[in-house]
Amino acid sequence: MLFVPRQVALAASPQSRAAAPAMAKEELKKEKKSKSKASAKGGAAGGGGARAAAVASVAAFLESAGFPRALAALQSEAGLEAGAWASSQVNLEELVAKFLESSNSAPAAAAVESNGQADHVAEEGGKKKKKSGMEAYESESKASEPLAQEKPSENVGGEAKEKKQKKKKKDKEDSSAANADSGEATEAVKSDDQKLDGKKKKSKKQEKDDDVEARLEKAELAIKRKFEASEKLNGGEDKSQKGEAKSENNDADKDSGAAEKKKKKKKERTAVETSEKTDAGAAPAEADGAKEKSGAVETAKGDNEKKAKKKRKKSDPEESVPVEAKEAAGQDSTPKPDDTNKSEMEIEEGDDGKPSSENAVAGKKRKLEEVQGSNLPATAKEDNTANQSLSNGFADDKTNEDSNIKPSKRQKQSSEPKSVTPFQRVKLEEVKFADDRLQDNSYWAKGGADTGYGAKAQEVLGQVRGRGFRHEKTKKKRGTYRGGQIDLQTHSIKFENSDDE
Amino acid sequence: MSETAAPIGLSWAPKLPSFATTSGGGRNDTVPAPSRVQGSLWKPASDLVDGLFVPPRDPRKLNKMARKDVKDTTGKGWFDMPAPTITPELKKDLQILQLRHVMDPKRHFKRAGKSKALPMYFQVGTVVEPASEFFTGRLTKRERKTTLVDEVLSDQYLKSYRMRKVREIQESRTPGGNQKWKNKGKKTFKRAKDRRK
Amino acid sequence: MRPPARGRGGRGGRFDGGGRGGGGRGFGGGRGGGRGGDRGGRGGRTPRGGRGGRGGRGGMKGGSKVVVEPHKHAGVFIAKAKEDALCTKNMVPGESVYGEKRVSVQNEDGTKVEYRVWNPFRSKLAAAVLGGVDNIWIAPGTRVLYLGAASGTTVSHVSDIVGPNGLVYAVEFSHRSGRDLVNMAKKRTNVIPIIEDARHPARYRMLVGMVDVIFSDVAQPDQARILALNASYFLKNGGHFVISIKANCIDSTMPAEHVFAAEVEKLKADQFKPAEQVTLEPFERDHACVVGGYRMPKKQK
Repeated sequence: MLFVPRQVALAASPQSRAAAPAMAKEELKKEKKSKSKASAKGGAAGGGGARAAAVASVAAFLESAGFPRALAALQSEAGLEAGAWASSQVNLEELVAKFLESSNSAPAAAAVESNGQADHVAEEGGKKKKKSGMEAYESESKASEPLAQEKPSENVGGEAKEKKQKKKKKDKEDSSAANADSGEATEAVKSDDQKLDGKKKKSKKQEKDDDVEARLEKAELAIKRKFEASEKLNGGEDKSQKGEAKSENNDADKDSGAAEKKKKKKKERTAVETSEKTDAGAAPAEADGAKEKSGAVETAKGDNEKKAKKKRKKSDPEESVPVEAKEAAGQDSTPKPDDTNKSEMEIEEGDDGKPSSENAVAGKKRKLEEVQGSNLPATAKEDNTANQSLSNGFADDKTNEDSNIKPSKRQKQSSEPKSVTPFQRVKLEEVKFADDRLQDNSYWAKGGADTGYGAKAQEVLGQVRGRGFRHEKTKKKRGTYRGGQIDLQTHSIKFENSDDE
Repeated sequence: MSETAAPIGLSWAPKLPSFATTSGGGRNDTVPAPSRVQGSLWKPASDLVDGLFVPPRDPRKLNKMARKDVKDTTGKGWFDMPAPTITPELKKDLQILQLRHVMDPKRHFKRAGKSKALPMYFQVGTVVEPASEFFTGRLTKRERKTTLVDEVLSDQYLKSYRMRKVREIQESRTPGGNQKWKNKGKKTFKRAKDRRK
Repeated sequence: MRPPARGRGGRGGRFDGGGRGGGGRGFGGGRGGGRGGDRGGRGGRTPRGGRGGRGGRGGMKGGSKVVVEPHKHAGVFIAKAKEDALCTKNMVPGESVYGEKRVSVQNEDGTKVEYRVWNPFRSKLAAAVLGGVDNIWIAPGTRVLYLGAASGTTVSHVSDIVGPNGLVYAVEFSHRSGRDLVNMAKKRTNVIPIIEDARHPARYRMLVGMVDVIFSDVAQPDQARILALNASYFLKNGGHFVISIKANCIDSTMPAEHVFAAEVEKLKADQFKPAEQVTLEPFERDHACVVGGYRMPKKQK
């Protein structure tokens, strides 16, 4: 029942490539709707001028980030003129980056917020039936956000999260090799595109940097306050929402125990990530932000975790989505690097946090590309890493067999030849002996060994190993071996075959 | 020896040279029924009538005897390895195989078992060395012997061991008397040392 | 006395000739290789410096007398002198395949037969026989498919055992050792050499008929699969298999016993019914020989 909507959506757009953009658009539209509502409410508090600026900034961001359809939707809905956002003075990306960089406590709230939103987005993606209720809820939560500027990034983050989840599921479903390939390919294309964009943006950014900074700091303070309030609000809402979606959340309590583990893993991952980042020498600020965020998320409340669980639950149905659709979604969405990033992180996680050298190298490469490509995905990613670590940790800790098995499977089939667990043809623990005597293959364990024909040879050959053994055996091969008497008794170990006869 | 006259109804008939067709049957033993001939080499005296062999009239007994004669080989499992006639030499060879465990102090064989039964089917052969061992793994013509026992007896190492053992046993078995307490002057020490060996 | 070190025929004093062609060299029957050179030459013989020590203690020297008796297994004999040795009856009297000793016997009726000494250090089947396996199923008159024939040392003895009424299909992938195999088969009418990959029995299915026994000595990680594949093509229902398992080829990190147990389980999954297992120590390191049946009919009771 849960995954029907997704399939319906897929069926509606048979071309998988088209499906994902459509979905993304839909989501964006929803966001916009909620945003407009939020801004309507926020407008009461902040005023109409801020709203226009926010819309313009969002549009500018959408254009720069390469969301033409979303942009068109926004344009039509907000009644913007083409190119009107070019004059927007607020650079959303930079704003977010700054915000992440400067604030310690605010990111925590932001993470909470974004989680909540991701929740909602996921819910919306998962089931359209509850959409109306969700929207109401969403608008409420949005109402607590005074700055429309913050929203897009969060939304993107949420979207990215959702995609990540999709991707994750996809990973689980099919072999990661193909996945990684496709991911890399798309990433390569994307990064090419985005390199240009990113460069342009950076130059723009620097122009605007100076005058924006002063405003930003004010905004940050405001954001902090509001976030605190919204956190409380979210907590309350969560409960109500939980009641709403109780049928799906039966195992929520059970999962709460896994939260600590998640946190640990998260820490490890962020550590790895930051090291990679600093290695790459790009965007250290973002790395910092990531750290802060993760730290903040760790301190986050149980409801946060519950949300994550919920999110996962709801996106469960998406597991049945065909691979192509997901890939298409991955291709069309901006935070593409996130996807690859995520998968790579999952691999790391599969290795139980032990960073295998190859993974690290691959990760570095990807990070570099990504950093060069665009700033926005990076920031979005930071948002996601915390979030994702939650869900990932969850997946690991989950008692469900499928998710437990899948990481190892993927490891086995992954394109990376090196893995931490060595390849074994024989599983030591699966071996069971039909006879106790079979546990010792040595000569002396055999019957009649003392006076047997091989006793003399065993005295010599038992002393040596490796080359010495070969040497001694070659001597024996010459045919001068004298073993004494050959007995005609049977010394073999019989298998019991009575059971199948 | 010749019970070829069965068609007449007699179990035994004198061998007549006039029958040209059967005349060969008696002489060349190997061709017509070698097993029969082999089996009839020796019979207990009870079966002989006037010193001549009379086969039993009972066909069952006859069959039994025939089967016994035929069973002189191992069958096709071992490529019809024949049971040779046990000559005294062969018997000694087989016996010395059973006594291998006392032959050589350096070799430890399991005892062949209590039963002194000799194997029924066996062949005595000569080892042929490969060309590569012409100088190393070969006995010279002088060293070659006709039987296994002769080989063992001619082995210098085994001979010294055997002599020592015999002497030891003899000494231990000879009654003590007062001989060993007698001082024999200079010779005493030497002899004691000898004994200690 | 023990003869001092010397070169084997044709091997030019190369003592470490790789034994059974190192692991991982070939495919399929690829346990061979590394045994080049034609035999029969007399290279690398170190001249002996006098006869030291006690004389006459050497095993079986040329010219000494031995008593040949049948072994428990059909077609196998024991040569008894001061020491025992395993033998098979030579199909081609007067020929030595790999420089082994022979025993020439003159029967009472004047016929001559010859036996060849079977070295357990060279042949895993001989090692299994000496290890005390209950039944090798290879007997006079049987048809045997031999996987991993290598240079044909064991194959020649199997050919001896099955005799003129039997048949041995010897599969070996390595051309180098396959050459020796073919040369050996030229003199033995009951050996059919097949230079093919044992992993692809379809390639030689036209050459091989139904067989009674499959002997597998391929020393490959997937030897159980290879055996099953060949059995499905050529082994009659109720036929038997003899497989020599080299633990190092399958998983060198595991204890050999566990590897054997795992292989036995694999065999069971392929309609084989393992009957017995015997270690090949001390003749081989970490080897075991498993004997059993294939698609055994249910016992009527």
